[in-house]
Amino acid sequence: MESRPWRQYSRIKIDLILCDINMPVMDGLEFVKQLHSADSSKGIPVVMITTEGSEGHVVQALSAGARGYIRKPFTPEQVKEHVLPVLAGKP
Amino acid sequence: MNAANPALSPRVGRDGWLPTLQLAMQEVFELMLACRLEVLTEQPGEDMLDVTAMVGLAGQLCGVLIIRCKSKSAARMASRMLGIDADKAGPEMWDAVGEVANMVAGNFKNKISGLGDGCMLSVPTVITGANYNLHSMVNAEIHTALLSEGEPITLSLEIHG
Repeated sequence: MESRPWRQYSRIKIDLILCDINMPVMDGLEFVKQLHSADSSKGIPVVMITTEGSEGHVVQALSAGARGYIRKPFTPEQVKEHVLPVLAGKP
Repeated sequence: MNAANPALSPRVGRDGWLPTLQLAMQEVFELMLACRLEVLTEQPGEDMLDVTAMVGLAGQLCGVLIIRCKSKSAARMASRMLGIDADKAGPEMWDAVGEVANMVAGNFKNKISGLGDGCMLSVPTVITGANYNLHSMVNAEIHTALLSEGEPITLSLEIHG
């Protein structure tokens, strides 16, 4: 597998990535770190969307560079609450 | 929804884990699939439950969470989750059941005090076909069955340590 699959999308403007933590090949925290280590993709905001709901996981995700954290299961309102400020460019 | 109950700590005991497990599954179905589940008082036959999703737990609780259902139910989950036609659901149904198992396991452990940080989940594994035997080093098992749109779904937590 290509180690940085988002590179193939470098010509597309990506507004937001919703990303799980528990994933095969590369976990979500490592994905965020690698995504933001590349000049072409370091500005792409990532919101983690995951079952790992502890405070420790939230701190890890935000430290890795995620802009938000949504615990599964979630309501549509919770998604809006976390995603809309990021899309609006709010810190 | 995700507040851990100190009375349900693994160190205190496993009394109360069955309703917590059932609630974890009901919340996932209601929030993510817009579907209510009823707890079945009688266990259904499992010979027609031909889709199995498993998520491993490791850490303060070691074990496997297992969901079994009919292909028909798995296709409905995919339809509700992804907005596709249930009759046309192929590999999506495996992804959907695996994702449901992942969410139930996560929702359950987040309700047990100390497990949120102290227990890791594996990525899901999905088995298709009903004719198999699963052998594992089980110390204890919590098993229940629920009804979704008229079809049974079984939920088991095999505890290894």
